[in-house]
Amino acid sequence: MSEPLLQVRNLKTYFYTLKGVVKAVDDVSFELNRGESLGIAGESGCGKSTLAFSLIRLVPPPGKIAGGSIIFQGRDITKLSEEEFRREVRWQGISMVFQGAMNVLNPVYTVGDQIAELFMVHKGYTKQEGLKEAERLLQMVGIDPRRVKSYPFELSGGMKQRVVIAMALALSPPLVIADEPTTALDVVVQAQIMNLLKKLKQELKTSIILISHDLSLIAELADKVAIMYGGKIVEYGQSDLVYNNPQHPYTKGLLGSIPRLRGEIKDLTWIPGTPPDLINPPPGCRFHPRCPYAMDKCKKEEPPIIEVEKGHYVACWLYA
Amino acid sequence: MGENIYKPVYSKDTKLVVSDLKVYFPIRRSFIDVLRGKPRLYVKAVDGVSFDVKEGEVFALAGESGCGKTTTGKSILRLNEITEGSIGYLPSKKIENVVKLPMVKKLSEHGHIDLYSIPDKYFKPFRQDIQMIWQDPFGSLNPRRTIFEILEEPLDIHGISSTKEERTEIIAKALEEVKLTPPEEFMWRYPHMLSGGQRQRVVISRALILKPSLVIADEPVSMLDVSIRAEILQLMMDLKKRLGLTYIFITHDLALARYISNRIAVMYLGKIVEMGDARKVVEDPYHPYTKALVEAIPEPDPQRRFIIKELPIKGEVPSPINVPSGCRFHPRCIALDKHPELAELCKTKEPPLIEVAPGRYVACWLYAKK
Amino acid sequence: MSMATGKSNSRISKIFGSIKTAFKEIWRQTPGKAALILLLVLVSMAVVAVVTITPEFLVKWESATYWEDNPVVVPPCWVNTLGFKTSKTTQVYFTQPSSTDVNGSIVKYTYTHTYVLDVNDLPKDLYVKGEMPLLCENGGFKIPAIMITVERPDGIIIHAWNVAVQPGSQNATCGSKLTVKTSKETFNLAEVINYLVEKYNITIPQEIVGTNETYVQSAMSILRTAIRTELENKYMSTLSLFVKPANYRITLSRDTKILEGYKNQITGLKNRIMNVEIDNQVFKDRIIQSLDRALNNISWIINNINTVTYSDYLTAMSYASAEIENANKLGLAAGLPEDIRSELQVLSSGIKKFIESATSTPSLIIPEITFETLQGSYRVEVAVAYYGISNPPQSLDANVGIIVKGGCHGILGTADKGIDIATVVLYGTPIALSIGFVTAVTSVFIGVIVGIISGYYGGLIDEIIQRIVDVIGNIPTLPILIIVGSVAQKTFTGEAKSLYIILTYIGVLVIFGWGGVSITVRAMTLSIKEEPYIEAAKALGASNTRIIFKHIFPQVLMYAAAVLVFNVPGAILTEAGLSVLGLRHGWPTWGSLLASARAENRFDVWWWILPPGIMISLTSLTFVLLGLAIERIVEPRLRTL
Repeated sequence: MSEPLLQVRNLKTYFYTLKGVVKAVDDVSFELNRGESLGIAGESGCGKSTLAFSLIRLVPPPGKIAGGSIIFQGRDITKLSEEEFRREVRWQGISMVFQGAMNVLNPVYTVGDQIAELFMVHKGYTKQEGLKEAERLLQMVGIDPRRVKSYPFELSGGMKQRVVIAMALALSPPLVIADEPTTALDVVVQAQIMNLLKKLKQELKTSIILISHDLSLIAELADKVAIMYGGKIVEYGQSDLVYNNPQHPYTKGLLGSIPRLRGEIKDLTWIPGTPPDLINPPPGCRFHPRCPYAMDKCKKEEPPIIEVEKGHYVACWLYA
Repeated sequence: MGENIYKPVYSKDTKLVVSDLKVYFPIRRSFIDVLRGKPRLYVKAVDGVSFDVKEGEVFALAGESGCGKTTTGKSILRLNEITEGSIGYLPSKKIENVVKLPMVKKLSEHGHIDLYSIPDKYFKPFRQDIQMIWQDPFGSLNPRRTIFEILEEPLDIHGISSTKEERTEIIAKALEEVKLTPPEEFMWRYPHMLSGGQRQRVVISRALILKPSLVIADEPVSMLDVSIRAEILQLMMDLKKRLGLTYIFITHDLALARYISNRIAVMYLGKIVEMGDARKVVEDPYHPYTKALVEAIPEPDPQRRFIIKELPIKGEVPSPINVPSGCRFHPRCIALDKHPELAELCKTKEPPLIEVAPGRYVACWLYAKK
Repeated sequence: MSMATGKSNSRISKIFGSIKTAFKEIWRQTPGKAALILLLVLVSMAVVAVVTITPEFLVKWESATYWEDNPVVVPPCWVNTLGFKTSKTTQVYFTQPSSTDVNGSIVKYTYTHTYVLDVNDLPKDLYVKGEMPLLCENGGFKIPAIMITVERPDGIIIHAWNVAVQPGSQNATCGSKLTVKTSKETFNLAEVINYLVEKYNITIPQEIVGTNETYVQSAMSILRTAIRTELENKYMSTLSLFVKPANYRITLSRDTKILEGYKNQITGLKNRIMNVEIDNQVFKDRIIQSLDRALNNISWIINNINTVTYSDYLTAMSYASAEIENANKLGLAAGLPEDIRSELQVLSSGIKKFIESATSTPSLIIPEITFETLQGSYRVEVAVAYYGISNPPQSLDANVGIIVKGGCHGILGTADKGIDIATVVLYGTPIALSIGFVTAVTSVFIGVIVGIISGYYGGLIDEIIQRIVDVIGNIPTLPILIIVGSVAQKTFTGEAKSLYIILTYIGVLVIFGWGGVSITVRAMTLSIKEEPYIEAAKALGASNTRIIFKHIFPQVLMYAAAVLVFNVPGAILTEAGLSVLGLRHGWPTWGSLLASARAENRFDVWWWILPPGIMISLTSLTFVLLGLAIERIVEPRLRTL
């Protein structure tokens, strides 16, 4: 067992809005080893993106990390000052591929300039050295290095996404968070990007946290999966265990709703109802209003996290 | 050429026949370009598409963004001008009197008429008969109007029932039909007060309130969470069965198309490359592009994380302004690399959509007799 | 039919409902609340102004006679509470006499008013004006005699004016009004001087003036002249009603220079005479004796210069003069040479002239007198008397005004010509708001219509409209306004001139003002046009008209409301700016007040420039705040979480 790279303990990220406190991430814990990748899945509004932003400490106001710890490479990064975090952890330790990343690129600079700038800011390189690094990175993500001179509008969506990934990898961080890296991309390009991430994971041994609403996409990459619902992790474990033997009714529902390419056509399942309001979440288990197996207990008490088999945890009263 | 090149057939159970449809959008030239006499360029969004849809069928139009599937759908609704071709439509009984107009072009003895031969001012009744379910449940509802007002608009436009009581009743029924119950609770809300799934039900409800017979559903679930997609699809299928609808289902998701459609047409760069029974096409694609597309779809199988399987496709989608010569897929075709003898043909001659098995059509020189 | 009305009713109630909601939304925000309160104040002012304004005011507000009774350029009266003590302004007009007194055939109507002066600040003016009827009896006109008396707090009763009115025109008839106005020229200043001298015992001490009755009289006359000069020059005669002597001092010139001069001349002449051969020794001796006596007199004055009185001084001088004259006469008899005699002659008459000037002008005796405000109650009584009336009317159809112009006026003070600033500020409100609203509404209306047409239909129409917008958007408005404004000033004449000039300004502002709105509305239309729900509406069969009115217009409307509100101050500021630049239209606007301050070069008078300035700023602020509040409603992204 290799050493843990990231340990998240009881992390709480709340948004203090005028209407009330939105508990977007509520008591979330997980672990990630070096070189391992984790998929975080859930519906929109379940808190998965907020979790990602918490890890890189970019939660937009009025959101705040309200409790818990994030231990990265042995130190609690929630305790660092903003300046220390920016200098030592953000991008050098943890970098991020943002959702809708194609729009992250500044249209008035060449992609080379934009990558080189990272080296100039963080490592004090000269522009020439930075551009050299940019060429190396573009090659790594499968773009012709001569493209350093291209402006973003000269690149296709898939290429822009590759550039953004190159920027995330620029400072060789041990952990990259990819938040819905393939939304708005076509399947073919999506598959190419997933191939790229897989390759990087294998070759660079970079840990990747992949955030997506699409369990199929997560299966393409993740060693571990965390299923989030209503700001909490409801099921967590090695992906083989979670995909092949899902325990939580929510996970089962999600997997049942995915249409398959082959095999018998069974009726697709769905999860009735709507996601919970995170200002006033339902009492007890947050999933109980939509759960076909809901018992009385589920409506009153929050389920504990049970280890149903080694390395496979579920928060559900069915197993407690 | 003894083989069967696809030709749409007008039979009495074909609801819709799209025949050699071309939709070109002119690109605005700058003033200087006009002076220099540069030729006008066109985006060839749809470039010769033919297919037929049987009554009561779910016909899927699949492909990546920019392949022309949505433009095809909108052309059927006459939401844009077409450049060439015809759209034959078998109207339902209630609009028969429009059909009798002298300028309306009859396309078959079964009563198919060319939608584009109807003058604008007589087209309104067709808007009741052909409706659309939109992709974006956020954008396609005016955020400033209540659900009641949104559903009242089609009634207002077509002058259906005049009293408020009657309309309230119709709208309540329409909301019940899409399982937004109790309807009184939803009627007075604004779109932003509903979840994505609920909003999409409103969109469906608005499409069906005019009792259409043909519904074009443009990616109706792609913007919804996976967990509720099946519910909306199930609703659509139930309504189809109950109301006897015909669906044209526009999607990029081949796996989904396999589940819900009877037949599928896969489009690439404004043309159909493969058409046939949906299950067969997805499970055993013939065309190199369809193969690549199917290969690219992720599946919830964690074992896939260890495999880096290169896709059987190269390069990127070319611009629809400069469509490659010959087979428009040839610059990206891996199969072509394995069959260098076809190179000349693929690069110069456009492959026809030919029947390779009963009801199964492919536009590829690999399958055609040369 | 009933269906249609039901529909329009519901539409109206819907519009009212949305206006109510909009107001509620605006009220919910702090700037919105402030804006609505300010707007309420402005609108109330405008309503009051519109209800009370007279057409006469619009024409005459800049003429001095309209404001005749107001003090000129005085601060508002509330400055008193800040410690600046100013006298009050009183403008009392009587239609009924305070008392009527019939004594035989004499009937006297009396109008009284008590003016309290409780500060040191002297009033600016006091006058009585009135219109008295010409009474008739037995076919003869009876002319009123008017006497105005003022009883001062120190008890002095001054008959300030006695006016006998003569019918000016020949076609005077019974009951026709005679206009009377007192002036400082007719003021009875002599009486004031007499009373002041008497009451305050203004005398010259005997140790200065001496006892010679003649010289005492002439000294007193010099003093009175000094008093009169002071009161005429410093107190405009009339205001001497409000003063009492503060201190006075009478000094005797103790300068001996002239005297030494006379002494030297006499001595010189005496020496020359002594050297002259004269046959008659007796005459010669008598001449010498006379000159010696003259010398003695002058030397006596010199020797006693610090104690000598006016009387003694002049007595000694007249002796000296008489002796020299005597010497001259003796010289004639003695055959004194001609040149010496003529010198003696000159000398004696010089001394005589000295005496004459010392008795008529403040040269030897110098009075210095100053006055100060007399505080207390002044009872002003206007008595209108008719003589020879056997059957006096019960009430006199007269109109009598007692006006005291104080050192302050009203709530905002006055400008030049006595213009009441508060009135102009009040009446300027509806004009300013109208200019602002008419300009904003018209230009926004045009902008919205043109913008929607341009954006929705596109193509050639769009191209033409946008090129027009480019042209008008790049022409600077101010020079055009100045040119058009000055042409308008010359072109328009007649009563409605002001209105036409203002309409011209509005026209120019509208012509150059709709472009910006249309650009934004076009852009909004372009983006709304691409919204999926517009396409959805088209798929439902909605016509272009329906899409414009049901989907585009409501969204543009709120933006238009915000722009409208933001555009209001622009027009008001432009009007004010043009007025200050000298392009006057003649209506009482805030800009006109500022313009007159500039024309009089009185930007130092704060109460003249601040009120219009503050009103302009406050109005702008109101609409900017309102615009901000509306903008937040229009643009929900600005709302806080």
